[in-house]
Amino acid sequence: MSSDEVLIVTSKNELLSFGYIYDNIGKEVVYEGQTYSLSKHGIRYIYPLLFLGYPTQSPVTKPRKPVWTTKLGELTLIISDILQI
Amino acid sequence: MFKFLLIWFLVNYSYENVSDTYKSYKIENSIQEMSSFIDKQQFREDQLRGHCNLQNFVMKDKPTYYDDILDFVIDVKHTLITPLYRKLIHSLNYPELISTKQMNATTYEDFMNLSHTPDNKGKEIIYEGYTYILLHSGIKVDANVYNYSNQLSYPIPKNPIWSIQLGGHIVTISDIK
Repeated sequence: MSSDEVLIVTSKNELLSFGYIYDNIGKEVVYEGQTYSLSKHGIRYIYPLLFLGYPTQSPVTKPRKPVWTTKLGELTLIISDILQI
Repeated sequence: MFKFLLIWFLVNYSYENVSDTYKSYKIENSIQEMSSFIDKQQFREDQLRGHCNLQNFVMKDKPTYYDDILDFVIDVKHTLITPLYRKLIHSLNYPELISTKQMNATTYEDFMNLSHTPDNKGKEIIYEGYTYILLHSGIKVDANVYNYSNQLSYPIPKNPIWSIQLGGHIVTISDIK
């Protein structure tokens, strides 16, 4: 998908999957008629691998949610979380 | 003879006057005592601040007469809206007290000011036809910092956090530009 294309998603899972891919930063996605642009990709929690590193220095993934921007009238909203009703 | 008495009186009077002034300056210098007392208290407070690690703690102002009345009204309202009294009011057929949870903002500045007020946490702010629920109020860095000049501490600025319903989902907003 190039940066000029706009992806239309139909479910929240699709939207979130889009938000966890680093290459999608700056790309736009349409969900329920609202256009979202990914400004920061999310990071999923990965269970630490056994025997990786020293016992006191095992790497831990710090998860975070994707950050989106969307337009609402003349305002630009920075969205940090999306919840289903 | 009269001249001698007059001179004696004037000299005696002047001497006593000068003597009393000197004593009052030396012994009863209230301004110097007050200044010294304030210095000691300030030094003591500095020591306490350092010892107790108070950091950004700001002393609350002494409540005014108006604050006391306001607290009383809030207490009365709280008492009245408890279930027991609500039932009582219902049985007495009095209208129930309803607190305002919705606010209208006409401009962006107005909206941001409402969002930076801690009392508005959890309330709804309507701006440009959309209803925002304030989850966390923001913190602005103002020039007015109530501390000593050698202990200036500015609060860390923080954006407000809102939630808004867009279609079939609720989004959490961390900033609006």
